[in-house]
Amino acid sequence: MKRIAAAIIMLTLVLTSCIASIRVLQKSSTELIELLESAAFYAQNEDSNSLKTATDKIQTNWEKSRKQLSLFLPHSELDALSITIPTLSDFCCDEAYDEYLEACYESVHTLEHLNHSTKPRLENLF
Amino acid sequence: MLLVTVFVIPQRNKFIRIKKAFTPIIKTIYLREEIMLVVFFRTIIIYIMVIIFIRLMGKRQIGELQPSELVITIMISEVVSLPMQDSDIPLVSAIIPAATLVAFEIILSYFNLKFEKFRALVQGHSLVIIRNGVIDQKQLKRLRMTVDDLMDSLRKKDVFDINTVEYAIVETDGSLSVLLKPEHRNPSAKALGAVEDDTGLPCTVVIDGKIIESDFKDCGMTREKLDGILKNQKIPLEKIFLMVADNSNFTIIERNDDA
Repeated sequence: MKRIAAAIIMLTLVLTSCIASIRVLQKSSTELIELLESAAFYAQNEDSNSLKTATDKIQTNWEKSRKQLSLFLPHSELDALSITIPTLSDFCCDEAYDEYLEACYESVHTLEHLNHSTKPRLENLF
Repeated sequence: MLLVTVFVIPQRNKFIRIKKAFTPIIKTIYLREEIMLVVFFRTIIIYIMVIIFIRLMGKRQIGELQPSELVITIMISEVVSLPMQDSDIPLVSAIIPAATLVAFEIILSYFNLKFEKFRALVQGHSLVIIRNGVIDQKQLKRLRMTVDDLMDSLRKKDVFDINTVEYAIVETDGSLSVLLKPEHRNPSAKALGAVEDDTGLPCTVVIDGKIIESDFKDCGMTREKLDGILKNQKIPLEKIFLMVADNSNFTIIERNDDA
């Protein structure tokens, strides 16, 4: 009976951690996507002051999210973002808006892909 | 000033050049060490996790595992080995499937224990393949077992003549159980009229001079009784390598070699 209790506790923990991981990923990716889209808007308007503030926010947010996401996502998938996001501040300083936009959209696509690939959908199950 | 210009500055520049040249190598070594440390800690975590899971799954010898248990054991070893070597894969990728497999295995074994129909569905039935010395060919075909396989299994049970077999049963774990005809069975002590008194379970009382009190109740031993035996035998406790006792006060004492 003790083993059954241990098994049920283990299953509960596994399910809770799975749901928690999906929630964390959804929250982090949504926040980052919103920030990246607003930064892309500032880059399109060539608003350098707002762009700098948005880029700093993206950096801070990414640093925070990366630690959480690396607990349950393959590190290679996060590496792509770890390379692209730090380049945003360089493009912002150089006022290279086209490159900034490109990096922004690339990051958004990667985040959306990560978000979709972890959802328990039929196409992900099979 | 001249001394500084002639000796110190070139020396310092030389040192900087050497440092610059070696920096990538030092960084690589440091990075490799870090990766190795990550692998080392991951291995420890997975080792502890696997030990806990095996303990939870219970005690069974490899040869006694049911097919489903064997498959799950192999699957767990496969699942945990990947993140152990590859630091790119998060540890959770090993913990979640392994924990799920173990939990389902425990729940399945509980259902097996409680519900007979479920047990029959999961484990199947044991099958009689020899009755009164006659092979049941239909069952043999059903098991996809050749006569050679059957003879091989019988020989492993020290049976060389099928005619001596009353029943041979293939168990759900694939092992063969054999019941010989009465005239070929070994006589029991009861049949020979040589039944001895039950002396209980012989248990280890002293190992290398240390008293194993946890086993005392299994053989009716007490500390006073042990002291009495040692006093009678005139052996100090620290000179005993092994002492075994049973309920009939029979004891075996082996002395330490260096005693």
